[in-house]
Amino acid sequence: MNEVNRTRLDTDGGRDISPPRRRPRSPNPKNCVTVAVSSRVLFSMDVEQQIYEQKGMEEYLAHQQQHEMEPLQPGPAFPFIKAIETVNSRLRELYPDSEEVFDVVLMTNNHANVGLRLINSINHHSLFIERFCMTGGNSPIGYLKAYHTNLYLSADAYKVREALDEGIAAATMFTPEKVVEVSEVELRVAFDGDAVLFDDESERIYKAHGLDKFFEHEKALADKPLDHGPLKGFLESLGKLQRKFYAKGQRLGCPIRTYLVTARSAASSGTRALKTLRSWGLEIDEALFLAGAPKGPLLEKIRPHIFFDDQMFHVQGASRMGTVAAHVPYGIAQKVTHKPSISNTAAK
Amino acid sequence: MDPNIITNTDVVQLPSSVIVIAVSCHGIFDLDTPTELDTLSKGPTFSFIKAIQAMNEKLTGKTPKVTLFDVIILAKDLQGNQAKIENSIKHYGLPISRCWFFNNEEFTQSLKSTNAKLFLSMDSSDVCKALQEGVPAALLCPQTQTQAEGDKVQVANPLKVLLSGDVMGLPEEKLSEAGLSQPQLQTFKAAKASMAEFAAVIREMRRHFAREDSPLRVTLMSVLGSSKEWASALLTARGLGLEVDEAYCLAGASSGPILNCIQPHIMCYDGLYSVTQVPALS
Repeated sequence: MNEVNRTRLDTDGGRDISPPRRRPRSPNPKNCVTVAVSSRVLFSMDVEQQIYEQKGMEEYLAHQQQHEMEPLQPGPAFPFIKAIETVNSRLRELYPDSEEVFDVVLMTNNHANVGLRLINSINHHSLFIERFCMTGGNSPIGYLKAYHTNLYLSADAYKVREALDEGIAAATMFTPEKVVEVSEVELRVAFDGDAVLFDDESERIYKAHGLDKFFEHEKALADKPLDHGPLKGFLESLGKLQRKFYAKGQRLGCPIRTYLVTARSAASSGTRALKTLRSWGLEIDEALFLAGAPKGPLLEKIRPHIFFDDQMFHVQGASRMGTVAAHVPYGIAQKVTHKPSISNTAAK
Repeated sequence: MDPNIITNTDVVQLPSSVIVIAVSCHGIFDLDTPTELDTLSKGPTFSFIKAIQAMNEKLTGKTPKVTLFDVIILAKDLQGNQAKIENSIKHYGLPISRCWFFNNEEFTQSLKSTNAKLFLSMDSSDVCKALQEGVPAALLCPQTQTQAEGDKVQVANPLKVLLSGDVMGLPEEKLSEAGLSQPQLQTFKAAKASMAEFAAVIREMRRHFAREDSPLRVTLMSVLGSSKEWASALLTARGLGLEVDEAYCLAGASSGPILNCIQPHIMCYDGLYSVTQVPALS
């Protein structure tokens, strides 16, 4: 293929637009870890959302255009994206020409007219987001695939489910009930185990046959790796970037840290989880086995930039304590919401 | 009257004040597959004509005396197929008032004498020629969506027009840095020069419809430029009175996969990429 030289162009200050900082070239989507975020999780758009719901599209667009020069305030994904950029700066220091970095794409249903306010907001907060898709109401799925998206974050559960159905790691984000400080130098990502990193096989056993059967099953199959869940690929991508730091002797100072926060018990059902990770060649920095205890307090100590769980019960619990929690609507837990599941029953 | 201009008697001939859009015949009908029949089968850009038809019908429903534009077909080097093309136009009930047949050498001359305000073709070299002559021109894109069985129901989706954010927002000084070849630069500049007229046609199409039921969707895409330059392009579009629905900024990513998602009918050709590398166009 004979591609035109894709030189990135630096920009001067121009009329009406906040000048961005000098920025490096955007990487080829095939080489980097692409994180797609919707406008409503990157920024707080509650007011605007209300106007849209109560007064309709025209008023909403008019409002956005009138307030074009007013930057939007950060939304739930904002600290995560900021931390990603910190990791990128560190990666670029060590590997100036590498395309193996994060790339953040704004993937929104919004109308193009809102674009100016979004770009102004991005520049105001010094975010490095050069790529966007404003689909004006169309589904983002095709675009997610076109960008080889590794993780999609949205406020819209329906779109998240669509993405998961297409094999794209995705989660619905919620604004935490209170604000807690998170690290600005280390990206911390926490994952639930079943139905997030692993598939929902064990969850199914529990729901069908109860806790005892679950333990029996896990013990019997301790050496058989679980099948992978929707976020395994993303953990893998994080691992690849971590190894780039290790290769330069920066294991201790690595700015990416991963956590497994699971209701499994360390002594019993946890074994299978760890062995599964090992069989995949994946490392996780900290594995926390709660044996059924609530996740909220522990997460409050860890302060991850994002926590992925398939159960709304845990997502809400975490949010109440200030953790940015994202729901992965995958597996059996989505079909039966009122019954307790492995992770919210006291363990034996 | 020129013997090479065939008038479609099934369609009301419009006054010369109505905007003329000239569309290349190649692609509307399948001219490659040999056939014994009197009519040709549909080609990859057939759905464009249906989309225009839907637009016209919608407008006639609201304001019966207003006709949006006069669509004529330009058939280059197709004199042997005159009868089949005429028959096909009538057979499908297409809203085409006239069909001009001419040779390749007469192309730019013929185009100019049609007084077309917009020329659309799948052939990028014809589009370039038109641009160089100062006629606003754009690429007509083959639609890759599968058609319903028996070709009975070919739903006309909204007509999607793709504008180049690079033509509208990239400062000319930056072009030389981008490493464009001479022909590419020429096409880029020609596209830029006719932008205002092109925008006028699109604006005219849009003017009669409300946002919700608009049969037209305008997309602004930047391939080379940064998000800030895209923003510049949006302001330019606003200045030209154009309402933009969708926006994409690629920052150097490959445009093929994105174009496959957008599936434009009409694409502003700015010379920035070779047509063959875009699946939507090949």
